[in-house]
Amino acid sequence: MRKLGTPSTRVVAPVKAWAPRLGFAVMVGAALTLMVLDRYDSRFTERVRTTVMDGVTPLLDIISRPVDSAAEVMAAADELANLRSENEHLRTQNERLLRWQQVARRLGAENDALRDLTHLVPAPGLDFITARAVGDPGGAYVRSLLISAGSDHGVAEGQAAITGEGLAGRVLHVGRRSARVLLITDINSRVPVVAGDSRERAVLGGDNTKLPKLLYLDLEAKLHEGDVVLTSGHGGVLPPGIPVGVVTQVGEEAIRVTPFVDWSHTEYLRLVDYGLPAELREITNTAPGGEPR
Amino acid sequence: MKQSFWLRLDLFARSLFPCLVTLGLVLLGSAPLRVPELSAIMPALSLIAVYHFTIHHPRLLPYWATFLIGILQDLISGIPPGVSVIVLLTVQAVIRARYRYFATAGFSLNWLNFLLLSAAAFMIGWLLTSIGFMRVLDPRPAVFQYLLTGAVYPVLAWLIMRVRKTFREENL
Repeated sequence: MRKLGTPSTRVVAPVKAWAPRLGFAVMVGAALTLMVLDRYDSRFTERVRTTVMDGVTPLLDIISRPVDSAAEVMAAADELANLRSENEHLRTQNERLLRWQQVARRLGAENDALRDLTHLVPAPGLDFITARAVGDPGGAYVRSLLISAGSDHGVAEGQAAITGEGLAGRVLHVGRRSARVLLITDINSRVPVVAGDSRERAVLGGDNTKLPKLLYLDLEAKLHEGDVVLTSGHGGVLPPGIPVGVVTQVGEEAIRVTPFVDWSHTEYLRLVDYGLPAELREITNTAPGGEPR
Repeated sequence: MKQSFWLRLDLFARSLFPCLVTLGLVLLGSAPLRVPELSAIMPALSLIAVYHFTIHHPRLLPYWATFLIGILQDLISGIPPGVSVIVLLTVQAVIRARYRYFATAGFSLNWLNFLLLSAAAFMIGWLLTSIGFMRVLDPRPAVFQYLLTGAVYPVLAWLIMRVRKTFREENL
């Protein structure tokens, strides 16, 4: 325990009393400097960030394994309980999908024929990188995932991250063995999209809620609940035609979209390498709307 | 001589306990829960740890350690770097300024103190993140996060004390 009042402490006391306060002031000053630095020139903080991400990702990978196993067990139990109704559901879905398959085959053939007629230049081929989502930093203000693949595996800034259902987000920071995916629901996320049969152009903007909004929509645009939203490919970073979600709220103040992605099943993400030249990627990433801040 | 070396190593390992536990909680808080609704209101475990250790082992969690822990948390979570640092340091500074009061208060009184102090901490965090992102953020998720953090506090604080005690008894 502390001994107060001995002669030596009486002399040193004022110095001792001020030293911690100075330490506090220095540390807060450093933190504020970092905040300002990150705001106006993020190169330094970016480098530190990706280094830290690379260091932390293997640890998070270990921590996330038991969590995933537990989630799997829960899901398995849930499945067992709902086996009958699930079966019924799948049967009807299968019927519906078979009909769709026929439609798709017909459209595919028609599409090929029309392409031949018009001599359409095919879109650049897509490459996929599959990565495990090892971190969900959460918090009240950010919607993002950390994945265990980085520039060593071909991940690059701006790539689309998709699940089986549709677009989940896009790559924001890239380390050597890790990367951060900014989800489409994040407040800083902006994705160029087209919506509805009339292919209205808009920007899908997140606001940290489950339902992102359509921004910069034409005033004349008529959208209805149930209209499908796809990526438009404008800006050249995301490939066009990735399913994003369905319009679910058409209100006076905002048109909101329910993403197709099932957020509780984002263990694995596929990153779409659009095969853009690096120079173009750099240009589009710094274009307004391309930079999420 | 040999004895004292091992003793010193032992003491050194013990003195790392608060930092390691807080770091572990930062990582644990970032683990994917696969429950999107929950991850938004994930309790601020590091805040609890910093509060607890600053009261019970103030020398073992110096300002610079809190600084590093805060930076790590900011860089992992993607909020502007520096926000958690300032939040955690402020909590620590308040406790140190009224150290005697906090150190002599009982468990439930310190819970109440935590509720008050963390309310201020969340407000500072909201303000700084809003400034960093240059837009007014919806404070509602933060309110839920605050409530959940307050609810988790007694459990986590008790657990930390429990682990600490086990270590101490082993020594005897």
